[in-house]
Amino acid sequence: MFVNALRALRANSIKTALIYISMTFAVTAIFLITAISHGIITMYASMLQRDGDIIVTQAKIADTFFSDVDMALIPSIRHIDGVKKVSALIVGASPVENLPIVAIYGSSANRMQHYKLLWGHYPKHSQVIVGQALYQKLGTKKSLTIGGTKFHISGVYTSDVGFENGGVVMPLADAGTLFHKSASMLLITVDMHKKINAVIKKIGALSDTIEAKSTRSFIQHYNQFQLINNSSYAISFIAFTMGLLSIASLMTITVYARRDEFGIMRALGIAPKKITASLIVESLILGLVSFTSALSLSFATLFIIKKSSLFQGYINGEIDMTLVAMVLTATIFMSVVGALLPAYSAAKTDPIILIQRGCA
Amino acid sequence: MIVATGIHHKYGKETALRDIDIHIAQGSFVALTGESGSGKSTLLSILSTLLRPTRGEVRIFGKNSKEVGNIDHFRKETIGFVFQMHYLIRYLRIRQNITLAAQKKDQEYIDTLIRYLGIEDIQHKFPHEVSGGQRQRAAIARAMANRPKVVFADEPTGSLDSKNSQKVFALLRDIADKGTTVVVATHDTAIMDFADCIYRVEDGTVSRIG
Repeated sequence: MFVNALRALRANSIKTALIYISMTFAVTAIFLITAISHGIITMYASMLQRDGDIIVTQAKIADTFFSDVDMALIPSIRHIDGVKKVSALIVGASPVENLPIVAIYGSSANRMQHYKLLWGHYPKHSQVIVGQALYQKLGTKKSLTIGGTKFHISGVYTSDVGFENGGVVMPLADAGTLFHKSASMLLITVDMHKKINAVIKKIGALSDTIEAKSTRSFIQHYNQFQLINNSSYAISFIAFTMGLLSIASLMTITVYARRDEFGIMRALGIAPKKITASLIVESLILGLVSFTSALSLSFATLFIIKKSSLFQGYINGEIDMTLVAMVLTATIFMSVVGALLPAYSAAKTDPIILIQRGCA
Repeated sequence: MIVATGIHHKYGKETALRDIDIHIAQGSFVALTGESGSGKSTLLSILSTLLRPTRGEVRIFGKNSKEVGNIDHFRKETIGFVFQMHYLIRYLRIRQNITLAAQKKDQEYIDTLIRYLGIEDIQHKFPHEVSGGQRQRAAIARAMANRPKVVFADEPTGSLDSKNSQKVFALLRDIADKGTTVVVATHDTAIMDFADCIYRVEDGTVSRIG
C-alpha cells in the first residue's frame, strides 16, 4: 500500500506538489509562531529566574512596564527571616538613535554582575553599558541619548537573553529619573527554599500596594505571557485550519480527477475501506514529508531572524522536542482528518461511471 | 446462470428498459447488441450489479442481486469487468494492474493467465508504454484474475481496430469455452461470429436474434 501510495503521488505530481506546498507552509507557520512566542517568553522568564526566587511587583498591574514598587520597602524585606538578597530592576523601552525601540534596564548595583562585560566597567551616574548586539548598530559608539538625556557608554556586555543583548543597562537611580518610578520589581533570593511561602506571606503583609509571588508562579501566571501564548495558539489554530482545508480541498480535486481509478477498484471488488486507507496513507506520506520540510524551513527562518539586524536580537525562536512532538501530532491529525472526507468520497465512487462514459 | 425477470428501468421520467426477461446459461457467450442509446449498456449494468433496476429481479448464480450483503466481496468473488476504455491505473505496471484485486497466493495462475493472453513481454511495462490491443488484453487479464464465474464486457472493442477487435472476441470466446460465462454489450457486428446467443436491444426492449 505504501509503495502504491508513493506511485500515486508521483503520478499526480502537480496536485501532490500543491498539497505539499500548502501543508509545508501551514506547518512552518505553526512552528514559527509557536517557537517565536515560546522564545520571547523563555527569554523574559530566564532573565527573571536568574535573579531570584521571589518577584515583587505593584499589585494589580497588567504589565511589569507599568509597575512601580517603592524602594523604601527593601530594608524591611531584608530583615525578613530567610531573605538572602534583594535587588531591584526597572524595565522600560525607548527609541535610541534610529532604532524605534530598545529595551532599557535600570539595575541595582548588586545585580550588575549578571551582565558579562566584554570591555569597560559597570555604569556610574550618567553612564550606561550596552548589549553587544545594540552596540554594533550604534552610529556613535561613545554615548547615546535616551529620553533627551545623554549617557556615556562605559562598557559593552554580552547576554544570552536577546532582550538584554540588544538593550541598555544603567544605574537604577538614573532609570528611576528617566521613567519616573522607584523600581519596576524587586527580585529576592531566599536562603532556604522551604521557607519561600512564609517569606512571600511576610513580604505581602508589608504593603497593600505590592504583590509578591514565587518566580515560577509569576512566570506561569504573568498576563503578558498568557496573552502571547493564547495569541500564538490562536494563530497556530488558524494556520492548522488553513492547512486542513487546503488538504481537504486539494484532495477532493485529486479524488475527482482520479475517479476512474477508484471506479475500477470498486468494480474489481476492492473494499471501500481499503480505498479510504490508501488515500489516507497518501495524505500521511505528504504530511510527514511536509513536516520534515517545515522543520528544516523553520530552523532556517529562525536562524535568519536571529542573525538579522532588523529584529535587534529580540526575536529568538526556540524549537524543542516538545514543540516538535506537538507539531508532528498536529500534522498527522491534519493529514488524516483532511483526507478523510475526500477518501470517503473516493471509496463511494460508483463504478457505473465507467460504463456511463460515452456508452448507450 | 444469470436470470433477469421483469427488468424495467427509468432515468428520471425516461424509460430505458421495459419488462425484460433474459436467461444466460453458465459458460455461454452472450452478446447484447444495438444502436448507441438503445439501452444495451444499461442492461449490462443491471445484469452485472452495477445498477439497480427500477423494477425487476436479477439472480446471479442463484443469488438475488438486491439481497447480496457485501457487494464488493460478491463482485470480487463472482464477476469480472472489461470496459471500453481499459481503465488500467497509469502509475501501476501491467502486472500490478492485473493483480490489483487478486489473491496473493494466485501468482501461478496469474502467470498462466498472462501467458495465455500473450502479454508476458509487456507485464512489467506501464499502460502508456503498450498498444491499445495489449492494454485491452491486460484489462481482460485483470477481469479474469480472480477466476470469476462471469465476465461482463462493455464495448470491449470500442477503441480497437478490426484486427484487434477480432482477437479480443476470440479471446472472450475461448474464455467462455473454458466455462466462464461472458456477456458482452457491443455494437460491433464482428461478434456475430463468436457469440452463442445474440440479443438485440432496441427502444428499451430485447429480442433474441441469434
